[in-house]
Amino acid sequence: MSAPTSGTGGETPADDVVLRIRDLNVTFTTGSGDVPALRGIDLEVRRGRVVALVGESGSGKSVTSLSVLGLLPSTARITGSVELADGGRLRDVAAAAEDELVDLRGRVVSMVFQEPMTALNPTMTLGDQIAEAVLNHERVPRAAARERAVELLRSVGIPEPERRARQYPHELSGGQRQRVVIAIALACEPRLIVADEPTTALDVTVQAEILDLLRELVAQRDTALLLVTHNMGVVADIASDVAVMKGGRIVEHGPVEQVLLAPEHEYTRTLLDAVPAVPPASREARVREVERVSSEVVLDLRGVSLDYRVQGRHVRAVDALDLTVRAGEMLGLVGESGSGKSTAGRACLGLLAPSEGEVLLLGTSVAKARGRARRRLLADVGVVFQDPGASLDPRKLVGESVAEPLAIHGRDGRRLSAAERHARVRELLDAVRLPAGAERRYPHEFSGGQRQRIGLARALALRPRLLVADEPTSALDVSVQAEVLQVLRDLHDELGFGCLFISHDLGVVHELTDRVAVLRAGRLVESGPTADVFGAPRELYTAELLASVPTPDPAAQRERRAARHRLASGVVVGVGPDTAPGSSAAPGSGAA
Amino acid sequence: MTTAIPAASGTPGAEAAAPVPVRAQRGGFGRFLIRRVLQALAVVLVVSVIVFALLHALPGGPARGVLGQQATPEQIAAFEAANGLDQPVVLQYLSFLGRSLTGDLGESYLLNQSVADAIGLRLPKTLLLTGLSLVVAVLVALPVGVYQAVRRNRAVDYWLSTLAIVAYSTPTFFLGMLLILLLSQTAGLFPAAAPQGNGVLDVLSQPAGLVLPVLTGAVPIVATFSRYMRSSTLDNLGEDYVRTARAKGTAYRAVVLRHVLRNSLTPVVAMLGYYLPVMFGGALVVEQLFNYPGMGLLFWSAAQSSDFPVLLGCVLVISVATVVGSLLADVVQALLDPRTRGGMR
Repeated sequence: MSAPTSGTGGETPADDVVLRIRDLNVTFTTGSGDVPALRGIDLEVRRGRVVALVGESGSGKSVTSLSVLGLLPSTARITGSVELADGGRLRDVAAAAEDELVDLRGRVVSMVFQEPMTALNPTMTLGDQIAEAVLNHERVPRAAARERAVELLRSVGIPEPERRARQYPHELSGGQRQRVVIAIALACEPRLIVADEPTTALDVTVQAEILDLLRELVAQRDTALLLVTHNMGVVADIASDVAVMKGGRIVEHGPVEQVLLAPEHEYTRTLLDAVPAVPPASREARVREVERVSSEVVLDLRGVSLDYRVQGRHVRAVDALDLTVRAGEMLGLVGESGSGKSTAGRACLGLLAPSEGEVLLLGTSVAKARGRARRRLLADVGVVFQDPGASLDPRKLVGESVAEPLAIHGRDGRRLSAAERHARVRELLDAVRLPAGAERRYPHEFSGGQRQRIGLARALALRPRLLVADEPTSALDVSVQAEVLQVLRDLHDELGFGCLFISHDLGVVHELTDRVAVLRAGRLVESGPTADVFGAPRELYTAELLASVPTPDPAAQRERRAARHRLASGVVVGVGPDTAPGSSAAPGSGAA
Repeated sequence: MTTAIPAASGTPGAEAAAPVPVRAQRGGFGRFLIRRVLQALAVVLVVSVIVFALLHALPGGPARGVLGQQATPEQIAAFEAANGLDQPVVLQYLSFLGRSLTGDLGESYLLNQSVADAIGLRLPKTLLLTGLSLVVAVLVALPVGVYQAVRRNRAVDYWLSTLAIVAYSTPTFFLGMLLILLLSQTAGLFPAAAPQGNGVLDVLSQPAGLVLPVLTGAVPIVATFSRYMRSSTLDNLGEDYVRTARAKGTAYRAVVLRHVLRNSLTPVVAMLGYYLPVMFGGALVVEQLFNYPGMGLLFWSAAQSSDFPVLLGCVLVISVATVVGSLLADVVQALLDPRTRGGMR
């Protein structure tokens, strides 16, 4: 397995190599034997290049990134070499002692992590956390390090850096915290920055800004970036080279245009095909289903406002929202975090009472229904949550979890016998394509995608007229996501329930839904047929949102980025189909 | 390092305006402190109501309690008139509250002393004993907990854990006797009797006598809090910020001392605050065992002789100590963790 090295510029090797990984094998020792994580990785990163490491969970990409900083846990057994260029010589991280690693980390190589909400020490000021990185490697007075910290905050685009330096992490938003983490990584001007899913936890618009920041920093400082991501759009946006990982091996490696537009390896093609894009190649399949939408309204939100109490003050999470979902229809509810989309979903489930307006389920007001009538009404609503691991009781058999709604509500007003319940559970698990015997196993024995299908089976146990799906696939890998969505789509076609599909992923919403509603700060920005809204957004915010979704085609992504910058600078031209060029990942659309 | 890259969208503040609730620092620490003290006062007020109710629940009422079983109804009526016990309950409560605030907690049946004097004489000595035990215990428990967390699942961790569980499950009186037997009777290092005397200074003038009581009080606290500190430190060692700190080249030792320690202390400090009343309970046994003239001994003898005013006085003091303990814990927590200052958690 010898992957080609990434040199496309024709420089002499070794001179500008900042990272060279050779035949790296990592095995974790666990209670139940050895688990190989990496099998013979070869990788080179050169100055000024952005190398993307892509793959699904468990492919070994994060293990690779941690091994570059020598941050693997002590249960890891390492063979092979991970060499970093330090001054004129190469230093092998895999063989280095801890004090040598302490010297290399932050100075020669530094890291940006996935979760900006937890990556910073909550009890230390931001300024001190950045200054610490400086003081770790340079003999400068503390005051000088603090000044550098302010300067770094300014350079990563944090407004009012002097004030922010004295603040604590909880006083900043997620995107700003990620900028601070980047500032820490930059503090000693390392040759290489390793970024492990740096934008995965962020909203698309914030993701686009962070990617812009990383791109400019790399260009300006001639730093190399090793980017770990599962998002092909991010790869197209920023990477110059791509290495595709699967099962601890690099299966394909090359310049970004080549890998994304003309993938050689089967697995790369599978990954690319699974990416939901905005807009997809064809809308015909969905148009057929739109005709099947009946006129019966299953969910009707009329001027619904929802408030939260924060420190004694009322904060409006949803403001005068009007929505309808018809039987057989899928309505996408999109927006960034904090836009109120999940809050609106909870109101539809009767979990939150609106402070104004009303929620009508099948024509009946949820707020006015009491006791038995309310329970019967809510039995017509199914729900699937985001986290498939946390929304199933770990101590209950899968069969018990799925049967629970049946046990509580019965069917048609009567209790079901154990045999009837069992038969129905089997039927449901068949419908979500789980193997026989699944009902007698526990949730932890299933993968994330399977667990989410179990959640779907439970949600559909009572044949609901409305399904509320709150980010059902956000925690899953793309190929698994595609699988779960296919099951959802088939069941939707078959059973004809109305579906409120809440998601921040515009690609998924575009592929799946008939109509879409865009929320921003609790208000409805725009709604209509998905093809119309995404194809020709009327509102600037929708256009910005769409332009922020990276597409896995480097050339198209460059255009999209340019369009986004035009939008942001207020030049409202080309809002429309031309900002969202079609045909994602279509081979031959130009290896720019 | 000088060129500033403007946030790419042209609106650097765009994220700040993002709907992620950035918690407003309304009023900050001063305001937090005022609110928390007011809350504590409210709790103390509730405690006073309960103590007042208990006083009135004495068999035959306070008059019978003071005058004894032989008192005639006339004497009782005269006593009640003289002490305002024939007044409406609300007025009685208010005057009780007024008297309590001025330090008048009634007369002991037995000691020929006011309750306030009896407590006033012994409270400082108990505070000294429990205070010393606490300081010694914390100085040992916290480093031990951190050390165990860093050396988790190694032999030294297992041994220290075993020791802690043994110490924790040993009853205080047995532990005290064991210490007397070993360190006093056999080794002859320290006297088995606690220092006597009226004031704190008298007690302090005989430090050797303090060693065994302080040690007996400290061992269970060490056992408990080394466990808390170990698990709190372990939790924090697994946090993402530890990885961030290591990734910027901070040595492991500095990561533990600079980052992990402060974050691990927060929950432990809260536990310490709530532990204060438990330590008063421990003082009861320790003072009895070593014949140390403190609150515990007073409470013990009052309970044995049904000296209700003294008992209730002690209850009031211990209740206030509980409230003060949790108040102190909250304040220290707020100092350690900026997130708690808004009163959010």
